[in-house]
Amino acid sequence: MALNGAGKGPELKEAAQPALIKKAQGAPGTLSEREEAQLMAEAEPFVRFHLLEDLLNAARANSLWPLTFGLACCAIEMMAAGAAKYDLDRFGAGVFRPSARQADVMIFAGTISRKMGPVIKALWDQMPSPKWAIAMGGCTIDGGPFKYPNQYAIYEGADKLVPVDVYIPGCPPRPEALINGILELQNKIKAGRRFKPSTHEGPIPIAKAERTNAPTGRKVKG
Amino acid sequence: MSADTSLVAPGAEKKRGYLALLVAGFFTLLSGMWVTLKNLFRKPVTLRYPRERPELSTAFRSAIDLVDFEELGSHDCVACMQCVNICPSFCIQVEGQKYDGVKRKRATKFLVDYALCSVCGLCIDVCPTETLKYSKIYDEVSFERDAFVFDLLEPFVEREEAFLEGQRIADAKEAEEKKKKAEAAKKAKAAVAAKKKADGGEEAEKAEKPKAEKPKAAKPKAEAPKAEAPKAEAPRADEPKAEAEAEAPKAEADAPKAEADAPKADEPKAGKVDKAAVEAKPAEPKPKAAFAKPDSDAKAASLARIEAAKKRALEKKKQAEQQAEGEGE
Amino acid sequence: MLKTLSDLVPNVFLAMLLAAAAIMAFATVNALFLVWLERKVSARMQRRYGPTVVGPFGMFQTLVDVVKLLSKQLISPKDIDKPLYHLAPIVVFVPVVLGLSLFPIDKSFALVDTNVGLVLVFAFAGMGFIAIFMAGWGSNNKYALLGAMRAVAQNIAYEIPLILAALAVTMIARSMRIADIVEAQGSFPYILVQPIGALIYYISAVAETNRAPFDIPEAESELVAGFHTEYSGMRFALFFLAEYTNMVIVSMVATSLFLGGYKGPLLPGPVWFFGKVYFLIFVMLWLRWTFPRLRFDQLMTFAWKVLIPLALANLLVTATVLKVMS
Ligand code: SF4
Ligand code: SF4
Ligand code: SF4
Repeated sequence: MALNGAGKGPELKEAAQPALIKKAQGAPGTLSEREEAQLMAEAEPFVRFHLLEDLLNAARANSLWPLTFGLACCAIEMMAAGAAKYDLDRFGAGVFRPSARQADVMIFAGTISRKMGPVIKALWDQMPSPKWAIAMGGCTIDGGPFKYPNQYAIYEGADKLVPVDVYIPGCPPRPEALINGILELQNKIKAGRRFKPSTHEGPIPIAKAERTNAPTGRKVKG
Repeated sequence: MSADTSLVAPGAEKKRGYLALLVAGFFTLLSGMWVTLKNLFRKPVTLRYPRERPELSTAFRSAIDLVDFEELGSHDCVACMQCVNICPSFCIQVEGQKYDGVKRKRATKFLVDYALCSVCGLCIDVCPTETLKYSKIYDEVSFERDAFVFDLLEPFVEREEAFLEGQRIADAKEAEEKKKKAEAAKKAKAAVAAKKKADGGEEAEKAEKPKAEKPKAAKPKAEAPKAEAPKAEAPRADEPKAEAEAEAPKAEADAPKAEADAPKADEPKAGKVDKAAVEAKPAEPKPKAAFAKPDSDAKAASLARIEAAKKRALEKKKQAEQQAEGEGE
Repeated sequence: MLKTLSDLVPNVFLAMLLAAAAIMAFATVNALFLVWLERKVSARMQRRYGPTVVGPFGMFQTLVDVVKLLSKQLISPKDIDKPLYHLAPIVVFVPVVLGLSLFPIDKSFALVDTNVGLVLVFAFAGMGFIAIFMAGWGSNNKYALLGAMRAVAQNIAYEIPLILAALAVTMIARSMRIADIVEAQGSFPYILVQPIGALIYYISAVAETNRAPFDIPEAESELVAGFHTEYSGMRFALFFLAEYTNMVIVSMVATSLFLGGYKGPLLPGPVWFFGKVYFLIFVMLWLRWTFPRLRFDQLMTFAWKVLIPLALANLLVTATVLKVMS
C-alpha cells in the first residue's frame, strides 16, 4: 500500500533500503528471529543520536493528540474515555485536535464505510508525521459485525486504508480498553528508549462476577 | 433602545427593559460560574484506570467463554454446532470428536474471533448445555490484527484426558444401569399393563412415558458418589417429570421443571445433563461443512494446544511486564 | 522614580538584547505554565485530574507537548500564498511579545516607558488580527478563510468598546503613560470609580484574545480549527503561544488600568502585579470552561448593541462628572 510507512520511524529507515523491505515483506513469517534481528541491525542508521531520539520518543509518546474523529458507535466510548470518568488527558492524550494538521494519532472509532474511506485516507495524509493509528472496535479490526461474504458496504478493517499500530477489540471496547491501547502505543513509541518504562502493578486482572443466575443452578467454577 | 431578540428568550423582552435584561443576564452568568467554581474544589470522579480497576457489573458482556462446570470438572460443549449456526457474525469455529467409550461428542476445537463478535449473546441463548457465558475481558489490546482469535479450550486442555477417563467410567456405569433400568422398566410396564387392563385405556399414555424417561434421568455423573444418588432416587423423580416432558425433551425447557420437582441439587443436574446428551445426538452426525474435519489424532491436537497455551501464557507475562506506567498524582 | 532598562544598562543594543531575551523567556515560560494551568483547571472543573503523568502534577506536560511539536513535520499545503502563510505565525507572535515590555511591574521598574504606552499596547494588540487574517488568507482553505473573516469582524467590533473603556480611564488619569495611570490610582483602584468600564474592558478583552466563549474564529464544531487549520508543528505552536501571551497582555492592561497595577499593601510590587494578572487570567480560564460558545450573530449583537452603547454612555458620564468636578 502506497500509504504504508508514512511517518513510521522504522519504516522510514527501511525506506532508504528498498531491497531490505522487499526481503522483509516478501516472505512474512519465514524469517527466523536471528535473521530478523540481523535485518533490523542492518537497517539501523550509521549514526544514532540516542539521547535525542529517546527524548523525542518520550515526548511524542506522552503527547499523543488524537484527531477529533468518530465514525460510528465506538466513538461514543471514545468520548467517554475523554470525559471525566476516564480522563484521557491524564496521559497527555486528551487534547483532541479538530484539524488533522495538528493531530498525532488517529483513533478509528467505528465502522469504516466505503464512502468514508477516501475521506479517512485524505485525513490521514493531512496528518504530519510522525503519526500513529489506533483501530478501536471490531469494525476497524476486520469488519466486525458487518463482515459477511460478499458484503459491499464497508472496509474490512482500518488496515486496508492506513497502517495501524494498535488494535483494540470489542463492540464497543470499554474506555479502559482505549486507554490501555494508548498506553500500549506509548510503549511502542518508547521502544527505542533505554530506560525501562514503569509497569502496571501486576498483570491485568479480569474482574470475576459469578454467573449466579445460571438457569439450571449448576455450580460454575471461576 | 429595545433589547435584541437574539439575546433573550422569545417573549421575555416584552416584560423587561434593556438594562433589566442585561443585569438579569449578568447574574445568570454568575450563577453558571458559581457552579464551575464549586466543582473546581470537589473531588474528581475519575477512575484512574491502570492503577484502579473498574468494577464490572454482572450484566457486563464481553467475548464469550466456556463455562467450567464443577461437577464435570470441565466444560460441557458437545460440539452440537448450534452456536456456530446462529452466530450472525460467523465468529465461532467448533469441531468435535467422538471418543471410544464416551457416550457424548466432545469439542476438540473451539475458536472465537473476538474481533468479529458483536456480543449479541445469541450463542449463549442457544447452547443446549449452557456451557457458554460472557467473559469479563475488558481491556484487551494488541499490536497484531489476528490476536483476538481466542482458543476457548485452552484452559481445559490439561484436564481433558482426565475428564475423558472419568467420563468413560461413568458412561460404562451408566450403560450398566441402563440395562438394569430397562429390566425394571419392563417389569414396571408389565405391572402397568396389568393395571391398565384393570383400569381401562386412560392410563396407557402415561405408562409409555416413564419407560422412555427413566434411563435418561438416571445417568450417573463422573464422580462416583453423585452417580449413586440419582440412581437411588430415580424412580421417585421420574413420576412427575414424565408427564411434563413427554413430547418435547428440550434442554431449556428442562430446567424449571427439574427445579420444581426436586429440591435436591443433584437431581436436576443429573436429569439435565443427561437430556442434553440425548439431545445432542441428532446433531452429531452433521458437523458444519465450513470448518475442517475433526482431528484424527486428538492427542497430537491437544499437545499442540498445550504448546499454544504455554506460548500464550509467556506472551501475556511479557505483556504484563511491559504495561505502561501509572500516573504521577 | 521609574527606571527603565535603558537607564540601568548604558549600552542601547545590550539593553535591547536583554529586553528581548527577558521577554521571550517570560512569554515562553508563561505560555507553558498557562497551558498546563488551563488543562488542570478545566480538568478540575470537570471533576477529572488533567495531566498527571509527566512530572509532578503533570507539570512538564506542556514542555513535552512543545518538544513534540518541534519535532513534527511542517506541512505547507498546495497553492498557498507563500509569503503570507509563512509570515503569519511570526506576525502574530512578535507584536504580542513587544506589548509585554510596556508595563511597569514595580514602582521603580518597567522595561520601556513611553508617554504613549497605552496607545502602543492597543496598536500592537491590533496587529494580532492582521496576522490571523494573513493566516486565513494564505492557507488556501475555506475554513481558515471563514475563521479569519470572523476574527477580523469580531476584533473590529470589540476593539471599540475596549478602547472606549480605556479612554474613560485615561480621562480620569489625564495620561496615556501606563506608569502615570497606575500612580494616579492613589489609594483605591479605578475599578471602584469605573466598575462598568472595567467590566466592558474585561469582556472585550476576552473577545480580543479569541477565547471561549468568544472563540468563533476557531470554532471547532463549525470551522475545523478556524484560521490555524492548515498550520502544523511549530507554526501552530506559535499561534498557541501568541494566544496565551495575548491573555497576559490584556490582563496586564486591565491590572494597570483598573486594579492599581503593582500597588498593594505589604507585599512587594511585582508580587502584587503578577498576582493580579494571574488572577485575571484565572478568571478567563474560568469563563472559558463555564460558558458555551456564542453564535456569531449573538456575538456581533452583543458588541454593537450592548457593549458599545454602554461604553459610550460610560464615557459620557465620566466626562460630565469630570467637567463638573473640575
Ligand atoms: S465495533 Fe461495534 S460498537 Fe464499534 S463501531 Fe463497530 S458495530 Fe459499532
Ligand atoms: S455473542 Fe453473538 S456475535 Fe458473538 S459469538 Fe455469540 S452469536 Fe456470535
Ligand atoms: S454445546 Fe453449546 S458451545 Fe458447544 S457447539 Fe453446541 S451450542 Fe456451541
